[in-house]
Amino acid sequence: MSSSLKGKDNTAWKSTLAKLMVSKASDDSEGGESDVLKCIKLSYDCLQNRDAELIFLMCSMFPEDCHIRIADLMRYAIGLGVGRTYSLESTRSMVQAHINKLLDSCLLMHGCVKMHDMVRDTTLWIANRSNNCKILVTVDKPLGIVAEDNNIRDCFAVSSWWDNENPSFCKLHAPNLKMLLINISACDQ
Amino acid sequence: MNSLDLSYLTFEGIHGIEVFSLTVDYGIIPISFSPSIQLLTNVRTVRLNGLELGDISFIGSLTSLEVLDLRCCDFNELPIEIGKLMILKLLDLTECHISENNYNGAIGECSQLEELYASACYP
Repeated sequence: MSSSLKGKDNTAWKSTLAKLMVSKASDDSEGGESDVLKCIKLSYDCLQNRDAELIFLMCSMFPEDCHIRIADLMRYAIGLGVGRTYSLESTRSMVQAHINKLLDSCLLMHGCVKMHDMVRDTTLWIANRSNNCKILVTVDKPLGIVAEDNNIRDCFAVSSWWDNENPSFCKLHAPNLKMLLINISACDQ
Repeated sequence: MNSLDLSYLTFEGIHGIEVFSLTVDYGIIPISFSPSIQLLTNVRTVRLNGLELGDISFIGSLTSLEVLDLRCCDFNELPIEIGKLMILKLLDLTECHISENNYNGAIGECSQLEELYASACYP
């Protein structure tokens, strides 16, 4: 968490401490979130940049331990409106700067980029408690079954990974959906 | 898998999407999209990888497209409709197989195109 405050002035440290105290107090009264979750959530809150938040949330749509190509992230980010009025070259620099910030904050790991399992779980927790960034990630699960889950109506993003089963799709009704990723790596069983 | 039937995945209920990505990690499999894919007039990024697409003239309806990533796909031709994509910035045809060798020049209409990738792309 301190990495996300690197280079920030005194007031940023003090306000983060205050937030941490508040979340600790509410945790004590509700017996809820773990310390790890609170630290990740605070690091996320410290981003204070919509594009960085979007890129971070997008990383949680990939499976655990997935090496995510930065070039792919950039292309998806453009789709979500990042760097709209800029050239591709400028957008690429902006996305890289946001990713560097996420790496500095230990919210992502180096490689292509990777998200630690615990960070990923927390990110999905954060996303699914938000009003407009709900994310549904499914593995080997027919979209028909997923669609029956009413939550899909509120989803901002859905990813569907097919590792061991043959894919099965259906009509989706998700008026708020902005991003749909489908990946198939299953061969005939 | 011999082919991928996406006819049940219709786009009426998700026509507001801005990013659509369908990727296959092995080989190249034939696919048929529902005609409702043409409703995706808000989509800015389309990524289709590892698919045998045949006719891709539907892309002409996706008028908000900024990024079209067709890596490792087979398709008939770059259709004349590509010229309708007035804000297309990036076209990736890496490792594509284009079966009809009749270049129509429509890509020249994409005045905002900044990046074109076409290594190992062959007619």
